[in-house]
Amino acid sequence: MRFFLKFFLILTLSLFLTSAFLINANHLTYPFPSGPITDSELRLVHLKFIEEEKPQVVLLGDSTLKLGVDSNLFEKQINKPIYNISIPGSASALWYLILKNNIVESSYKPPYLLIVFRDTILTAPAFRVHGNYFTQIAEFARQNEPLLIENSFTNYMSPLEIAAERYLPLYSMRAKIREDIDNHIHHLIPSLLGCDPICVQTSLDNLFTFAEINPILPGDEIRAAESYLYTSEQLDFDTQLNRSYLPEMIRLAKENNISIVFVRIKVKTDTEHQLALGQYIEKLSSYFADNEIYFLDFGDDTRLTSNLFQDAIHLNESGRELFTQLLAEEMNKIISEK
Amino acid sequence: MAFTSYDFLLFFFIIFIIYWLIRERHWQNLILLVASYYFYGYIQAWYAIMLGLSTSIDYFLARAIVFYPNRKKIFILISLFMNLGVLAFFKYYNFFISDVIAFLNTFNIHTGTLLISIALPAGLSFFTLKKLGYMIDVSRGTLQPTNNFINFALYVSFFPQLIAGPIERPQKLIPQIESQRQWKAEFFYQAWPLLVMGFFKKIVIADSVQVIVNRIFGFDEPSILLLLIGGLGYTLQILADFSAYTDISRGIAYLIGFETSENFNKPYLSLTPTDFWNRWHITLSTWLRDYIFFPIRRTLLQYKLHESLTLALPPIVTMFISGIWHGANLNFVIWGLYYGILIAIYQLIGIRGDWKTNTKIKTLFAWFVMFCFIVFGWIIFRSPSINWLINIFSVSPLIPNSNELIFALISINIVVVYTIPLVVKQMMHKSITPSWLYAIYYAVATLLIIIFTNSSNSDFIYFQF
Repeated sequence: MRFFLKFFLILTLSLFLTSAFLINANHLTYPFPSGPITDSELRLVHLKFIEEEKPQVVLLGDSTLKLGVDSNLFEKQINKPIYNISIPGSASALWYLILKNNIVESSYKPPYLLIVFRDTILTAPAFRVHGNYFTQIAEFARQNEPLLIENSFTNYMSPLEIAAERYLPLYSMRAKIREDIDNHIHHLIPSLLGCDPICVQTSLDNLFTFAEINPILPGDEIRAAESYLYTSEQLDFDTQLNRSYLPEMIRLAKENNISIVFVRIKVKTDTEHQLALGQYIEKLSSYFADNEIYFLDFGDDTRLTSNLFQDAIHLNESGRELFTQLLAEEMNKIISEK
Repeated sequence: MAFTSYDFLLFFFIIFIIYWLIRERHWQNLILLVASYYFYGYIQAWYAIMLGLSTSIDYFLARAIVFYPNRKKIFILISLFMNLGVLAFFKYYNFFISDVIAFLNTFNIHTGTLLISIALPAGLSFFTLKKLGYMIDVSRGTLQPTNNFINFALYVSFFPQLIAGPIERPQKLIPQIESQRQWKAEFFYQAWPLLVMGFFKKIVIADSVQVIVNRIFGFDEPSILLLLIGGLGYTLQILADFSAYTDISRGIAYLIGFETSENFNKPYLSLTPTDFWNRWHITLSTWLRDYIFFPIRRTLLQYKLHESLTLALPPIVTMFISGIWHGANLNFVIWGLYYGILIAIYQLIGIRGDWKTNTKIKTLFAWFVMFCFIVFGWIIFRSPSINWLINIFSVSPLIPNSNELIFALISINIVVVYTIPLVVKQMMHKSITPSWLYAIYYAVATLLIIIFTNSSNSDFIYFQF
């Protein structure tokens, strides 16, 4: 008992001291708001590009877009200038922020916006928002983003987590503290050998090129990470729709006279999800039809055979060429229709 | 339901309150049984149904052995067939199904959704061994079967041990299930250090080291040096991860008044392979020893075969079976054989499990050699495939290029940094450490758990694309 009391006293004292230090050092108001804190700095790289280059078609998506659509070929086939915003590791939260804070804010509004997605990702607002993904999201967020905080964070937090976020500074500041710890560990030995943080980053960037990754293991890891999109919760369209960014993205596009086109790209999902996924896509399709939104569904396209994939979700070079052509054909129909 | 999830915390809080409010043992057991089945069926209800069915069959077979002793061979065979059949089906179905589909397709037979990949029910390997041990002991007459179905079902499904062990023996757990339990503060004092260390090892150490391990074993052709660093990382990761689970499991068991077995006893300080298996996953090792190793050895001794054969064959067969038990993957089989052969060689040259040297230099050397064997064993275990490993040793350079070298330096630093807390704790155990130093250690560990909880994503592999 005495041992536990010693531990408890030391822990309580440490928590009190670290809390006081963190609040003072970061000039924060206490208690904190629930969810992560975003600053006032906003990345406007896409806004600037759109204003300068005035593309007719903007494509938005993640690595499946990057590896699935050949920008030069697509531009040639639809005969319109395009801008491809494919951000590896992005998902609906980041797409919503880029639409809201970059595309819509631009003085020039591109006539077409293609959002390339897979399966349930559009209604999975908490997918890829934590840890390193949040760093990416924070760059495109304003200081006050209530919808982001609610849809991607507080909606998915337990009461215990919300309380810890609000009242325990060590917990709410953990991402930053963790980043500092990681940086120190990562740079300690290289810096002793004269390799500064930029040198470390350059080496890692050079090392982690796609070609050097063993195709077996990432496939399994991708499948494991993707399994989140196929849980019963994520496959429940009716519940997830109201928690997602989809209605807001459609509203923003409509209000700014941007024709938004949702493009479902094919992935190799396990057959056990097919039935539930089919029902989900049916509902998504009806939702788009009710809102008069273009929906190009390549999810079950038999022309995209499994030999055209390099892993569970990414097309290979031949797949990219074919998918680009298929997408361009459909896009040309939409353009001529208008 | 993972021990580290909020859902589990809520689940356990409710169970804990109800369990201790009820003082009557039968009701307590019933609550634990319901809780265990809820815990198991939380993701897939059919897991719980399957567990219930196989438990019921084994219960009645064990009773039948007592009532009809002259037919006990039939009953034990039925149990073995059922338990091993279910285990083999779920473990190896996915391994063969793609070949079966391809074979059927050649005859224009399209399998559609009938033949799909089936997820292995979590914990199946563990509770199957628990039930088999019970049945074998009953058939040998070394254990009197319980005549209370709830007690037997609780022994099999006891939720702190259901997913990843320890593989508790009926002789240890069933008497505790059958005895009266009342809350004592002692339970909490036993539990909290285990819980703190469990969460610390899992959240802070294992999950952090996992990131570089996944990266290294994800390369197409890493240099040999980088592979060895990955092996070292995995050596740390698997110990931290698995022993964390056992610590949390034991801590939870203490909170509901049960004392369960330890599974790890400083395995990386072993001097011989037998010594390693006496310290690593102890409950599995003793199970394999009692139900596979000893019977094989006894049989060989009966036939008066050459001594070298009676020394070499039992460990090789036992470790081969251990490899198969770990999963349907050639890596596991080779890893099992690797240890079997190592044990056999050590035994044949006269270095048995309890081997000790009289000089510190010899001890250090023996430890270093054994540690290298352990790391290499984990490299076999963790490699994406055996071909991948062979390819590295045949074509990859020993020394990495400049980019890989930077990553290798970062990786080795990560491994060293995250090893320090375990080494410090070990040193504290060895020396006379004042209790306030321990209290500081546990307090710092708790602060680090708070910082490391959900602060990073291990699935940041997507950033590569």
